[in-house]
Amino acid sequence: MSGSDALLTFNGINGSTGRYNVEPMSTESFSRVVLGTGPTKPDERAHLEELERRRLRDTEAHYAPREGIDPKKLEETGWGVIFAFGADPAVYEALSPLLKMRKQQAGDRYREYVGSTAYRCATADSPAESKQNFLMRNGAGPGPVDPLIVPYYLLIVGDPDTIPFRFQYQLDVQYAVGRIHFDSIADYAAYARSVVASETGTLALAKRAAIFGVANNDDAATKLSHDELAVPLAEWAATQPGWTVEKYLNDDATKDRLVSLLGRDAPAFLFTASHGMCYSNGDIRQLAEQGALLCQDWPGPSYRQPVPDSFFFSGDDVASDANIFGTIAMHFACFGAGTPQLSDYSVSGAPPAIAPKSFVGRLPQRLIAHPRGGALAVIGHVERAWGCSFHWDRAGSQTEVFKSTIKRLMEGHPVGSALEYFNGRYAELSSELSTALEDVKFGATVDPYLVSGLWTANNDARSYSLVGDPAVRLMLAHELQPIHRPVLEVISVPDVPNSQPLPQLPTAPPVNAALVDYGVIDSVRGAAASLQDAAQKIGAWLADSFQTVTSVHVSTYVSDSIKDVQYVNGVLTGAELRAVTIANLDGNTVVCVPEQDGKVDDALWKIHSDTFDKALANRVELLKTAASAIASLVPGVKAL
Amino acid sequence: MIVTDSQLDALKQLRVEIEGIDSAARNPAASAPMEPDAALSYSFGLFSSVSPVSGAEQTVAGIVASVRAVLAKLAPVATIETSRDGVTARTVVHYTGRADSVWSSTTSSELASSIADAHLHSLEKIYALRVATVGAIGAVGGALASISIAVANPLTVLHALASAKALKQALERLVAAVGAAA
Repeated sequence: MSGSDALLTFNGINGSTGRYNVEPMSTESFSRVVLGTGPTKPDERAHLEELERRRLRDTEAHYAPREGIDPKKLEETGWGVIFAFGADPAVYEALSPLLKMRKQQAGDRYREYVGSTAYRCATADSPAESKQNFLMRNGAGPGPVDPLIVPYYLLIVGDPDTIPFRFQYQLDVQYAVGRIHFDSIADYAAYARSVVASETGTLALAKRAAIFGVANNDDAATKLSHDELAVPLAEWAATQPGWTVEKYLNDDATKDRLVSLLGRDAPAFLFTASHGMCYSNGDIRQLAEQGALLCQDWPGPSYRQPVPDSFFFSGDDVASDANIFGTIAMHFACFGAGTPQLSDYSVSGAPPAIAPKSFVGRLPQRLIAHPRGGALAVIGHVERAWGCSFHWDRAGSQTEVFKSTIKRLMEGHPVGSALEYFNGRYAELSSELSTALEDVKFGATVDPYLVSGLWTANNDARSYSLVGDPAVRLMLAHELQPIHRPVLEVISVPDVPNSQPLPQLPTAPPVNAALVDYGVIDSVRGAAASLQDAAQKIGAWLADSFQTVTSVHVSTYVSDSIKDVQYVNGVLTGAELRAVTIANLDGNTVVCVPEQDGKVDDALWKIHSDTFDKALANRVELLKTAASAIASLVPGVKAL
Repeated sequence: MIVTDSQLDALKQLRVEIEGIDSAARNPAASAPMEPDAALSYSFGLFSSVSPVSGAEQTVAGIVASVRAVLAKLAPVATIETSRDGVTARTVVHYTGRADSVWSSTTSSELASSIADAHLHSLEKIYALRVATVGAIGAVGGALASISIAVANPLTVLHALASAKALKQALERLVAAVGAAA
């Protein structure tokens, strides 16, 4: 966002339309929306009180758990894992190497929240458990972390429909929290193996970072994130002792570059700033591609067409032989870490659904569960990301929170501890916003730009989330130590169905016993999924054929010199527009008939009418063809 | 851009061929005789030294790459131009439903009629090519859906993999056809 008179431009591009996910709006309009807000639910009020305590603690002391505890030492901070009540035992089993290692490291400050101490998810009779209730049940109240009661580092295991993002945000104010959720048991096992191997094996990464900053043409949002976030961070990072920093900015921030960067030898730390891909609720691509990183290849907002996957980097683009073991990535992009089912930016009434369910982004999932050794953690955004993360009106670029976080990572802090700066900022902004809204309630006149800025900054700061274990850290080569990034051997872990599935959890597809017996499954297991993915891509493309068709629009021009006519941004220049016919799908039709010397220009009108007839006939034929093809992709329609 | 009848015919033929692969994947018993490789694999594949499933990953990777390539090669806009006796007509077609045409303002009605017929004929072919392309891509989607289901069934897995190989070859030709028409 820039200047109080300017339109606010929001991050996030809708992949179906190529347009902004939230259209730019004025500060005044936006502040009117914001002024209707305020905490109404009991757990939100309690959370605000907690934020105020956190803010006071941060302004008086430093970012850490209880005084005297070193966040780099797990034996002091403790480490815990939170499962949902009734979670799949196979997940626990797959994670057991990681749990065993953390138990050894944290000693008597190791906790497993399973069984009766597990998180209580929503049921038909009760809502999902709040952070306060969860902590109270487990003996902790508000205030600084006492790791003897509840450890500082907490890993949530489960999907955000079962253990909501809201619980994660709230818990993250006091604690260092991360989450993992995968669709397969094999991915849990792969992640656990990567973390254990990173801390017990020979991994020793070069002190190498990459800053990838997109600045799409005529796009205010990425220009801002490029100029005021990526560039300053790149310049600052280059001054860090011992670190080599690669800059991929503007025209260098292409998809090919990112594919190459994550394919051959990924840097220890990767920072990206770009739009994240967004899709309409229920779009066939949403689960797989929402939060994918839109690269420099996107021509900018004038490109009002479905966004092809050659423009963005998604989970599908993580190569099977990618060399990313040990990397920690941070993505400034909408939905980079995940998507809630209900919007976090609703201000009145029930929040609208923006997805069929809450989910962790596919890109971070693929990065951290890579079978040859994955990234250890991905820091990203749940919901939309906003420019106020790094830009404050009249103060300009504000990158200290980012720099402080990255500095801690570079110094070997666990990622959860490094992210405390974001949590501190959230606490500060929340308290200020709460005060401002309270003032409005009692009749005070408040600068609308200040309020809208505080509101967005507050929600933005809250939504930085960690995908991965909060206790992982960059495993960097010490002085004189040889740099080494081993490739882990791919192991095969059969996906077994949940023995006692929770009613609200989707069950894993049943294992086909016949295939297992024949030993064929390893070769064809991935084939069906890949083929389905490809079919889905086609389905999405066909669906776009419908979604983008709102009218048939035929224009006829004349010119004395056709060779001088140019077609620029959808308009013919150097020609005279003589006839137009627009037929909308709702039946409305607009016709502009050409005239010459006071009479209808019959010759031109015939040409125009014939052109329109052809366009309309094609549209009908195209829709019939696409509809028939889509029907063949829908299970149940197609006889098998 | 000029569309030839042979381009149209090739795409229509490909669609028919892909629909045949789809049908074969859904009805392995009925189609087995037309695919000797599949029949052989089904009978002996599991025990042969070169397992018929050994190339499955490459086949599927090839299919996925071809699907991406086809979708990436589809141009959102086509421009056609017709000239006759120094007079030109040009149309820019957006496949989202828009067409902008520009005609010489000095065209006599007789010449206009002549060039209009030729230009509209070209326009019709452009549209027909797009429909044929969408039809072929839709058929690929259907075949993929059928094969992905068949491949998960132990009784049809080998047959499905044979269908996948056939689909991969058809897709390679579709990529070339779409590329040539772009």
